[in-house]
Amino acid sequence: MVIPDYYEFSSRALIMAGHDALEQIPGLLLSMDAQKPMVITDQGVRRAGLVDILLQALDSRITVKTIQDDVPADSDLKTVHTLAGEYKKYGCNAIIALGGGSVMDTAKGVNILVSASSDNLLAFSGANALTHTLNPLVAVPTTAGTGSEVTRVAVISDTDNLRKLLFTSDFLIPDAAILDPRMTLTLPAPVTAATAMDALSHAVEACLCLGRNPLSTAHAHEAIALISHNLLPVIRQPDHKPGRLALATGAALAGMAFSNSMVGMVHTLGHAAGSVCHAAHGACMAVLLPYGMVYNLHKTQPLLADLLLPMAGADVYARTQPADRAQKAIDWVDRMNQRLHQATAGAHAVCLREIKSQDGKSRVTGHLLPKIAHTALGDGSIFYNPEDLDYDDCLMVLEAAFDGAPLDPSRVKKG
Amino acid sequence: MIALNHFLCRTKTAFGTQALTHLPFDLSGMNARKPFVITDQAARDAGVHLALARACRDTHLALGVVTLTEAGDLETLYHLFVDKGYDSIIALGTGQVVQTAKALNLAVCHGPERLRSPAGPGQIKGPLLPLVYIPTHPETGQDTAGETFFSGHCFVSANLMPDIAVITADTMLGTPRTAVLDSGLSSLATCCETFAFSGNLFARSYAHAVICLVMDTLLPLAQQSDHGELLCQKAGKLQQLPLAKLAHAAAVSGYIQSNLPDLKTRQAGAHITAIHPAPSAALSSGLCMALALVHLLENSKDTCPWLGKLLLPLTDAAHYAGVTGPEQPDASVRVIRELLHALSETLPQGMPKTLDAAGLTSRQISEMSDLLTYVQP
Repeated sequence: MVIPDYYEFSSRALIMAGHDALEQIPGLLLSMDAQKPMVITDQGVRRAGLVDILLQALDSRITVKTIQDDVPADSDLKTVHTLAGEYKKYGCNAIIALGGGSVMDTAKGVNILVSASSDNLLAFSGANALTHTLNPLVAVPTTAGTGSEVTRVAVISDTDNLRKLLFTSDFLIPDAAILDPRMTLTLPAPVTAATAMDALSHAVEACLCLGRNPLSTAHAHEAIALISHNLLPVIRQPDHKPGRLALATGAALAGMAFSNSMVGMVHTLGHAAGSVCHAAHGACMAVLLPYGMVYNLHKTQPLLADLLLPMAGADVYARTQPADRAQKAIDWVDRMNQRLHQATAGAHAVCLREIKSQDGKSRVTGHLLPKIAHTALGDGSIFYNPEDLDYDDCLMVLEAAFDGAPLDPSRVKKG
Repeated sequence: MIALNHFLCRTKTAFGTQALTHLPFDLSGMNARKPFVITDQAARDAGVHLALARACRDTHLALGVVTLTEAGDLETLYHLFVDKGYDSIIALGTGQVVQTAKALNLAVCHGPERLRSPAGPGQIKGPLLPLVYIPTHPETGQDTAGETFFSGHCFVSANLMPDIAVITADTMLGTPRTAVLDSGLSSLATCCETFAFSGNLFARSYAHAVICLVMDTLLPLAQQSDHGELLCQKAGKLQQLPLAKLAHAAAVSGYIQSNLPDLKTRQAGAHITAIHPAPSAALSSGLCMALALVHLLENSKDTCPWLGKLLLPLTDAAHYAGVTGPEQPDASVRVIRELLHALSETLPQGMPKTLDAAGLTSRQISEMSDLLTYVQP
């Protein structure tokens, strides 16, 4: 076991994972003297009936003061400030965040403002600007992908200035993450596929990138095994509760892993594609993951080879020659994307040009690839990638991923 | 997967050569400016506190250092802490140093009277002051667990877990081989039982990492260590890093103990130590736990859900995948037995490798059968 000279591992959220985990929330809030929560969610979650399920799980000891369901798809500064005002207006003393990554990030932003009694979120942006414990925050994810329910990060858009603000602090880790399979039972197959591949990309990059450590790797391997063994069965049988719980658990484990090891070029390019084209993050991750593995193959071969075991199981691992295991792990991810493509009647994209908006138009167009490559160079995750990336490298990978073409190994730098 | 899994680890683990130099930054992030450092004579004699002082030089921190033997009882520490306006605690040491630091934290935040009666889970509400743990030896997980013992009372709360565990070779003191074995075997037993029997995937992930650390470190360290190594001197260069890795494993096993308080090997270890006629030094708690683990695994081969998979962290991916599924449970137990045998070889007088050889009668063993058998829920 190779241990880095220095590393940190922190994951302070109380995790409750199970088939009736929501019913633990009242006792949990009471233990924190937080009987008056605000629920932050979005309209899609509300329409899916998940708010009702949450409210049924809360008992008379808890008084939900207000339910705010106007969180946009991309968490933004204005929404955070508005919701902080509502929190104070209704006299809340805790937040229940019910939703995906945007809802979680919004809730973290609101909690910063209300805990610090501030109206200037910008004062807390960047790394470790927070110095005090925040008010109680309970995170209930309704997708199994982002891992935001256990991470120390929030990303909030400053739409007026066309930038994304990053907040990192251990104080941003929610007090509790509630993983209940009822929250993901109604997720459509393409969303289930894309969010699970997002979680898989967190776990794989946590194992390969420069910040990896023994604890993050152990969490990531467990996550990979859970996602690999449960994703296709859940796509075929969406109401399979144990499978849903396994995917939610895998996403949380992957979140714990990457939150401590950081991620690399798959996220570098994916963040940029999301920023430039508003392409769904999970879909970008699914497409870009095998490209990131190929690009870094020469620097991470033994680590990649180890991934074949949790991905494909002991039999496949044992049958594969040691020298071929890394490539087989890459092929496994490629094949998983293909099978998800088939299982979702083509809705799961296998190349960037296939990522569509809700009206069926392509999100990522060829002429935007240079802009995505340029934007990628400003993403912090680039520093954690095993192999260097410059503009030409980013563009080369994006051009291949755009058409789903194989990456030309002779064009990958071998630094 | 069982119905409901809980997992909480309040402690941030900082491991490695730069861990001490990062500490001022972490303390600043917790708004701590005046830490109260509690240490013991051995650490002080070896000058370990000076390494901490160097790391905090030219920062905003104003350290105060007390050595347990000179500071007297908790009341003295309490008044010193309050009168001088300290705002956080650094436990530089293991065992009594850490238990005292936790008790002091309780006394400062909840009043000294809080220590007059025990407190179970959920009875200690509200946050405590920042507590940093810097071990000078590998221990058995007690230091990072959410509990402390003081004046015959036990206090249990996740808030008692340290905020940060700073584990670095720079602070490791010479550790006798017996103590190395106690720590390593305790961590191994805790984590093998967790991995083999618990459906809590979060605990199992931590356990996986600990088993790998112990399997990499314990035997080479036991072979290198001096039986009579002095506790008050810094560890030799070759031992420092392996000792830190073992301390890392112990710290993480403490996180697991906090979440899985009913582990059978821990109960069995305590039980055997209590009933055994030999002095406890001759039969450490860690060794008792390891011997109980072997019994537990042997007795539960048919009901243990992940005994075969335990072979993975005990060896490596290639070895694990090379053994067929039905053979993996036996192979897992065999690896642990072989480790015990090899460790025994490092001791001039050897060590028992079974509970019978440890001097327990058949009746004593059968009386603790519920601790040595896993019943599927």
